[in-house]
Amino acid sequence: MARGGNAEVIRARAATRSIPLDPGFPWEVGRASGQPVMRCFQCGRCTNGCPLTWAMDHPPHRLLRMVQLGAEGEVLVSRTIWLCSACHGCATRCPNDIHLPAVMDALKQMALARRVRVGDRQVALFHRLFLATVARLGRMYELGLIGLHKLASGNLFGDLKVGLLMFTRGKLSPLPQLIKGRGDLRAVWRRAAALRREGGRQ
Amino acid sequence: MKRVGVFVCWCGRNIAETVDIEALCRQLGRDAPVAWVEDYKYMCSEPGQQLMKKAIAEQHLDAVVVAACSPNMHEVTFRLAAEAAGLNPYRLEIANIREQCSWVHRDRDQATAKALDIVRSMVEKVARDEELQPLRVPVTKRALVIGAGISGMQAALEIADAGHEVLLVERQTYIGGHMAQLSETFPTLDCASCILTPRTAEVARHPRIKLMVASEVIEVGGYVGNFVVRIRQNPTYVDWSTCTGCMECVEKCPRQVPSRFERGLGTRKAISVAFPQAVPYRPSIDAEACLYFTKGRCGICQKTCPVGAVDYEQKPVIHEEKVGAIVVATGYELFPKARIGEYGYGKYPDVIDGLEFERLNSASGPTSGRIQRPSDGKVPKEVVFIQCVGSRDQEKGVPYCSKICCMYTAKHAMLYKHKVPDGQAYVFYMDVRAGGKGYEEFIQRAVEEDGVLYLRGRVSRIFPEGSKLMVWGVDTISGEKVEIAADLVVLAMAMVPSPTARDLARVLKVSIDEHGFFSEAHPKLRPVESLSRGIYLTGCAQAPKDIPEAVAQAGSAASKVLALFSSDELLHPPTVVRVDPEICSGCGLCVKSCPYEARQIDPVSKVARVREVLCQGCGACAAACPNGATQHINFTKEQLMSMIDTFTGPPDGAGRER
Repeated sequence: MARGGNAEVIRARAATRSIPLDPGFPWEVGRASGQPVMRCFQCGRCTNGCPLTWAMDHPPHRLLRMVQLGAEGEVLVSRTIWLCSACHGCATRCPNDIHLPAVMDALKQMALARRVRVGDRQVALFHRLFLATVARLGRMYELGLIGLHKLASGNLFGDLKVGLLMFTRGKLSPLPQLIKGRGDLRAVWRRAAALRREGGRQ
Repeated sequence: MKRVGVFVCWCGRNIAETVDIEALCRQLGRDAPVAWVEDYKYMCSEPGQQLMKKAIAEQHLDAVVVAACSPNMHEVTFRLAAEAAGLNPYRLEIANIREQCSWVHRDRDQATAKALDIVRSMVEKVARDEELQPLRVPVTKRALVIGAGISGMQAALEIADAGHEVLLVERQTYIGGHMAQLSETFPTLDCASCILTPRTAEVARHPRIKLMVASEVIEVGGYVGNFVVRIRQNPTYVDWSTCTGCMECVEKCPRQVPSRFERGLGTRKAISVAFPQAVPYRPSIDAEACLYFTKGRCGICQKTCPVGAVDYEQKPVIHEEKVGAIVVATGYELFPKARIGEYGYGKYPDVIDGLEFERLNSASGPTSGRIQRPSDGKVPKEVVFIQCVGSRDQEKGVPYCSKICCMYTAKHAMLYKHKVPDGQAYVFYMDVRAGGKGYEEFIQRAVEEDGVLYLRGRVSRIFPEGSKLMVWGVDTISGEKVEIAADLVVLAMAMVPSPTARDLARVLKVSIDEHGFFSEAHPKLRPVESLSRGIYLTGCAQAPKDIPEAVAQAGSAASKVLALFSSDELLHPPTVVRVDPEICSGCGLCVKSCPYEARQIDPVSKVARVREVLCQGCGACAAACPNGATQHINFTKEQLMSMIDTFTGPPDGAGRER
């Protein structure tokens, strides 16, 4: 295997496929997320309380088991890591004190860094545009973000009704609000990018 | 005519609700032998007992019936109270009108009539009861411990430290048992030898422990406090009393054979000590391997020995010893590995069992503690551990859980990772059962700190591919099939009783369970006693257990022995059988019917006699005796017939009234 793992994995010649084990992967995820992912004993409380399992391809507990087994290929292309809304319900309930949203974040970053097929393009795009907006303006600019997302995704008329309703109620500001010290913020961004080039991208 | 007192208990509402106590007492008061009747809400309570004691004294009663609950509950209570009031305790009987009457009936009139019959039958019996004194038996304050593993040694040390002599018998030529083979112990990872050798040394030098290795118990007679044991000391072909342990003979011996102690992973000479730290440190000859014994030539060891200790003519010696108590500590073996064919044990040298891994990992083992696989001596980089091999397997193995494998497998995986940090350990498990102080934390340490990958599932097949062993399994948590190309596979084999346990159980006349483990008297309340008095159980002879438990049970068994030795005499119930030699024809039916060997035919007078301290009062011989020569004391034929008459006689008890 590529990194860390010592398993010499050979695909089963049986009719059904067998999973490639990579015992190094969970340690990588553990380091990136700062979470003790090997500690999970599959009680399932994270999945029980998750509001989004209906949309996920792997429920959270199973995703974590796949991380433990080192099923990197399947984990990084999973929709689950993009759909997690970081409500922290699972993190509150976990008996082993594993902060699952932090694990999801680490997996998202790994997926982007390794340029695998992203599990949910819409969400990934949203993430990128969100960060780009914040980097420029120093704050969130909802109308601009939505506009950009619509243009980039090509989904021009989705959620139009909700958008109009929010606009008429004054929830969406027509102009962006800028912060002072945007130069400093850009410096922070540059530094983060430099760090990523140095340390990341194994 | 005896003066019988009857004391009727209400047991709150338990009896009084169904049985008309007032009518019962009125009827009983009219019966001829009944001199006194009293009732009370709770007869077993202190005031209830006082009332009975007072009546015994004031009314000059010479027999008592307590109509209450089962004699299992309070016979002892009431007999002690009667004794305190000056009545012989065997002149008090319980009439059970609760479990056998009020609890099982609804109709008040019928229940009352039945209660009357029950009490009357007991009045008939008690009126004919003899005054008895318990039998007194002297105690030999010397214990026999069978098996010198960690549990047996612990029991022996505790009894000896308390001041009694102990005979410690061991089948092997060394003491320490399986623990001597272990490298480290869970959950502390302290080295097994470091904690074992002080114990073996203490056993060897203890002034009150008589150690007999290479010995087996072949016959046990007698009874609690007075067992007579025959022990066969097998020949070692070296006179250990003159041998100085110089090991010249071992050095010169030309014959190398696989070492049993190293479980075949290392070799030893035909004359050898099992391992370098063995106690006693004396060589013995394996006659099956020795050239002198197999081919009739060689004799080098005899020529080499500077003190002339080698003796090819040595024969087994039978010793007869008297002991008062016996502790069984025969330990365990691993399930025969050849029986699990799909894992290729025996076919593939790199599929080994847990004890073999212990030897590989032991600093004094064949590899001096380096983890090397048996086939080519290479350091394995991928090691697969499989739990529950043979255990929890009704098809090929045993149905029970062997209890220690979860922990020692985690230990093995951890120790492997400590020695081969760039290696990977996988554990296939069904459940991880880590109940014990610090045990769960130990497993978590293996998972979190040492990166042992736990896969839930049972391996279906192992087959070789090149220099690798392909392991096919499944991780049922993810539902994925897994395949690992392993360098070494370690099987956590089921724990089974020592192969000698079955024969020993026959010799000791104690029972074993369906798997061959010795049966305890009660699974919860009497866990270290066998069903035979004076024979106690400890360690894996009773059930699979780990070292802390085996040591704790040894202490418990030792305390039972010490309690037995704390008095000079044992009391034995006097309700045994008795023979009328005038009537006995010496037919010997009683001898055949007795399960306790308490009956025998006197060789001189040719009539049957009773070894009273062995008699458990079961009555089998009394029933078998064709002419009534054997009578059960206080359960004589006359007594039993009179009791039956009360049930079969006229229901209103006519003819009884005075």
